[in-house]
Amino acid sequence: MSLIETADEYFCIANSYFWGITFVFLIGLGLVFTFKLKGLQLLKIKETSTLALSGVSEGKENKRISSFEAFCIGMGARIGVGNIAGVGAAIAAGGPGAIFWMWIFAIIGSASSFMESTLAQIYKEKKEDGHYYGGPAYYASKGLKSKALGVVVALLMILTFGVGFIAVQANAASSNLCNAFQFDNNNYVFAAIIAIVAAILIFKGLKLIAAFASKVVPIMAVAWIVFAIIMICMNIGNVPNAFYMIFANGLAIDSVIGGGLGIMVVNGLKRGVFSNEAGLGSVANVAASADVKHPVKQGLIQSFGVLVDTLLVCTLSALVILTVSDSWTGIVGNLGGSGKVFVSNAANIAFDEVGKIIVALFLCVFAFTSLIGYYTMSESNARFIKDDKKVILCVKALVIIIAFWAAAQGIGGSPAEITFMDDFSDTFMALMGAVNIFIVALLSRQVFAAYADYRAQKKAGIEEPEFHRSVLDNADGVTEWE
Amino acid sequence: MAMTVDSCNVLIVLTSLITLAFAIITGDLFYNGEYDKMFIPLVIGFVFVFLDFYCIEKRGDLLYGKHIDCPLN
Repeated sequence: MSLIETADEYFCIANSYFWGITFVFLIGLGLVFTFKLKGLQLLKIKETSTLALSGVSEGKENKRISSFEAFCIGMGARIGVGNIAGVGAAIAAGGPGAIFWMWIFAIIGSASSFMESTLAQIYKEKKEDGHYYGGPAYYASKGLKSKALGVVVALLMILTFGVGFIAVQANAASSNLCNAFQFDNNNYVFAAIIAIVAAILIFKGLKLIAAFASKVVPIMAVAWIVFAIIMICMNIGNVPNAFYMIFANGLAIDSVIGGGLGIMVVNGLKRGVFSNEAGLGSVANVAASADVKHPVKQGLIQSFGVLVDTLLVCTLSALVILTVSDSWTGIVGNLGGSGKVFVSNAANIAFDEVGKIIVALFLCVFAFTSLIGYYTMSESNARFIKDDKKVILCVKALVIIIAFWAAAQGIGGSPAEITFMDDFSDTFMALMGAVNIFIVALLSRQVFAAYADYRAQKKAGIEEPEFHRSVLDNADGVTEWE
Repeated sequence: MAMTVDSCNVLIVLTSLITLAFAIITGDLFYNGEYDKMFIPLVIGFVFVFLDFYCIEKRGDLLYGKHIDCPLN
């Protein structure tokens, strides 16, 4: 047994236990936040959607990142492989009911996303380059007054997103390109292209990444929505049945998968969190970089992002799969193979080989924007550990090497290494989620104080509320918002 | 008995550890593929998470002398 296989065996065990812990803390505390905030993620959806789409012109005069750009980087990180291949994997492993549970966990996770993003804004700090940086490491260190805890969280973030998630996304981008365009050594060619494009964006700096994300993300998201709707329209008669399968199977009225409710719930949670990243602390890093007048504004925007990711984008991918036939056996029979290629096979049925290539290109762009989003998180955490040019250079080099290595595995790479990549990122994702959400709970009073202040200003008729740190009961460690 | 900041500190640690214990049991059942059985420790874990959060909130209220409500307007 190779070293990678041995390591994977341990990661596989750790993965299960950490997911148990994450399930209890992430969903339990997400429910608590939902009750405490009186269901704002649903009841204030009109306000959050308006906020998310406003501010397109913000940040043009200065070199800081606007609220809209931060929303787009966050969406770029969220909308990734999980929205296409992940949905197929969830349906294959948990049945159509897994989608129902993805929705439930997205609604709960939206409150967690609000909490972590607002907290990241409260404890953000401005670095030498003029940009704001923040996230779990920053609020853990400043809010709980423990630099050591902050460093541990920052290292966890780099391992989770800078290594694990970047490897998975780079591999997905390369695999799909290799599948669509076949020639000798194509995996090395695409790995080199991915690494070079990533290097250009990474070395040009955060502002270019923000500009890239704010242009590419809305276009690709709208294009995917249109493409998915076209495919769904081709089988429009099966839509009611698709929804029936999601609800009936999700509520265990009509079981199609062995393992019952438990396996559906677990798959709904795992693939849902992988897709929308609510509570993992990843989007909090991005939220902190926005130049806004009130921290709650960015919290509301990012909570809307979770709903867009799962309730809209993932649902469309699910409908593409579930409308292929009017029965579960028909769907599995038509799409065959692994769940990860369900959407690709559905496109193949609708548009022949062209459909497969289109899905591969979408997956590639989704994976690439996610990769860039994860780099910004890694940089932010590296700056927390040591704001030094050499350290940042090391992180840039690490990300590019990991992206090249993972992309070079392509479709012809070693299965052991690809499984190791998946288990490694899953394990660290679970660990990061549990640690981050517990820190958020300990600091939740700060968020509630900021939120009450935001609402009070809104009630007083102030269109654009402004925040001052004196609103907080304990402003120790809050360096901005003077 | 009235709650104090110190008793809240003890209760926060205690409820966190109990939650962690039930979470590990949930993970163990998940690892062994007993998906339906894992709902029992999971729900108990949720109950202790609620208690944990209640203690965190109560501690803040006692420290700063006020409760923060989050209105929707």
